[in-house]
Amino acid sequence: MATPPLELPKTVSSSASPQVLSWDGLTLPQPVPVCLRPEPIEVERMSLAVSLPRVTVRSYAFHLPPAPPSSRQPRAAAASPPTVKGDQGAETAEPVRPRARIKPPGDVVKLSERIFYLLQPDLETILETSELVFPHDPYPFQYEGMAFLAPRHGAVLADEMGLGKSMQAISTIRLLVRSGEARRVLVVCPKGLVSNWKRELAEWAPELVVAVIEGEPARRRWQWKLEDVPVTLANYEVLVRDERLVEELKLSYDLVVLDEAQRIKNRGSRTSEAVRGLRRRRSWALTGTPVENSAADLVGLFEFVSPGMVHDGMTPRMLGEAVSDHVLRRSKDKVLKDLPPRIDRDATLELSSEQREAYRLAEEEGVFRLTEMGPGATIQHVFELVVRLKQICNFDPATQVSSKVDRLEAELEEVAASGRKALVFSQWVETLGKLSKRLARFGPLEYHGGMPTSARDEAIKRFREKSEHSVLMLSYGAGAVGLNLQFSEYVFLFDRWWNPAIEDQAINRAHRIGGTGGVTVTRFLATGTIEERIDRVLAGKRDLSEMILSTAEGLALDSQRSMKGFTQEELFSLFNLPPPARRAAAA
Amino acid sequence: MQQPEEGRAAIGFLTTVASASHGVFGGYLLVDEVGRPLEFHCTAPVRVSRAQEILYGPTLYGELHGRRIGGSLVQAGNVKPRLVLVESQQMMQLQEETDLPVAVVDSEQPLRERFGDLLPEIDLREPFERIREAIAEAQRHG
Repeated sequence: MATPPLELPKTVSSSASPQVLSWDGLTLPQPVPVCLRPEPIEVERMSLAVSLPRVTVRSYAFHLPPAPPSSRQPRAAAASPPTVKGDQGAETAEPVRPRARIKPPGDVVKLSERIFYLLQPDLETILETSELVFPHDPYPFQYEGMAFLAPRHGAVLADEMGLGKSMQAISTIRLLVRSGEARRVLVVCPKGLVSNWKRELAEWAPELVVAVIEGEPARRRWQWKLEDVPVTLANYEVLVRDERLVEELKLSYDLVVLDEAQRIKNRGSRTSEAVRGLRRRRSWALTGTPVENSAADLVGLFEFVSPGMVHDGMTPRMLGEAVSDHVLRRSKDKVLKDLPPRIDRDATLELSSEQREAYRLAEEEGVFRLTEMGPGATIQHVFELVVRLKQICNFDPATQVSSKVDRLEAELEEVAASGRKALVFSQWVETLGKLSKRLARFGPLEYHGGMPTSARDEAIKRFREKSEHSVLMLSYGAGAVGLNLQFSEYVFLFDRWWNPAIEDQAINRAHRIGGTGGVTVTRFLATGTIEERIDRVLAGKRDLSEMILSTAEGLALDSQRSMKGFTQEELFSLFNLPPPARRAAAA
Repeated sequence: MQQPEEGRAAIGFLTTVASASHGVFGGYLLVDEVGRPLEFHCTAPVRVSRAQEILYGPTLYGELHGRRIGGSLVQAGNVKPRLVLVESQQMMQLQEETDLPVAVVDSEQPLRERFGDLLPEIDLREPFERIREAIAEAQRHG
């Protein structure tokens, strides 16, 4: 109800009879007689508007998918951050980390849409309440990466290698599929990374059905046509081959994600054309290569990400400003506080068909021989079989085909393009030679015990000083004391050593005091092979100190000695054989 | 005022933002049980005159922010929340304009003890930040 205007009394008179003045229910006491003037005073009536202004309201309504069934346990109130006890026993609050918020991208201009994004809860809450479980807690910067990708139709995630670009993309895909914003997603990657993507999708998004485009043309046609499959995975070569088929089937996607997106930087390439021809609503590119190195490359990339946004002739500054809202890049030194100083990751991969066949034959023949030998089979015999099988895991003996090299090549592309340096370890010098030939474009240098000291020193010097040498190939045994390579931020263990302590020594060529960035260690592991079994045994051993031998030099000279890290039983168990003593007793 | 969909209980968060150059903005956010936005209502800036400031004196905040702005916003809501949360005791004057239960978010623990499962499992201060950001965005776009 409006408040009536205030009206002041018309006259005040000393001789007037007592008056009761009232205003808005407030009753004043009777005035005392005053004798200021003999004559009456005229007072002008005044009115003041005291009603508060009217309020105009603007309203927005949002239509949300049904809330997931709540199976959450009610949580205890957490008004204050958790505390930790300091050295003196006094409790101090852990610093509260700001949670990742989804912000509207710059190209969203409609106010209602921008407000919609701003009114969303933080990403961690969205993920928790949508009951999307993660196998491991993402790092804070990874939540921020997901918050960056989620609202964007065109995005480039350009984090340095090893920071989990694929994990961030997969987790955001989950979110979009769960919220109904994406029903069909296509992921395109290099051929050598298909199995890696399959594994990561299974690990980070187990509820998503994935169709992998591979095999004969008829099979691929059927796979492309599959409906109700949220995620389709294809490699670049298959996409180029099936370009016309995809067009014929009029396939369209809510989201297309390109891994190692530098593949399409050349706009004239068939790969780039095939990718740009895909019908899609959202376009994300994952690449660890800094996009600022070549303006033409950036323009090529954005022909996919957001066609027309940038063009040739733009200055680097103009390019940077134009794409700034669409590119997110974090380097390890920036997110280092979120990371341990060393990141270990397993690159599990499948053997090529040639390797698989060679492996099968060798294992069958070898186990048959060991069985035939009975109690006469010694550790030496087992060792020889293990070595042969491990070598097949590296290269097919007949064709030299290698799935590990394919994968290493893809990884080294990013390393080299970002100007970083990598170390590659193998237990065989011959393997280092083969790798040097296959990876010649990365300027590989070798370092092993078969080289004279002067040649080894020269290799280190050139590796340190010359940018054209992105990779140094080393044997495990050659890690002499004093070898200081902490400027290398990537370490690849091409094949595994028996003793994790020796692997750590190799890794610590790079991961040491004075290193400016974290070190990413990638261990190659061929699934379904002796490598996997050895890894399981090593992981299961409780007392690793028994496996640490006295000197690295001793190990370098005698690799068999390293197998003392395995008991006889463990060695024979690699082939499901009882140790000789038990077999003799059984006989 | 509508009831929320089956299985979706709404909670309202109401606050005001004062701008020296524009006046006072009000924002009212209704969220579901997991904190997702259902509705958002915001006001155009409200300015009071100097005379009104003087005349209302210390009662101005409650009258303007709580009753006038808050009342208008709650009335604009389509979804009926189970509870409306405000940030200060002065805003509690909103109670005079609505039948909805109103409470102050000054300490989360007693609030959760009192209202239990009514409250979404989020930081109860956080939605107010979202309202402030949305108001700032609306201000930027005019």
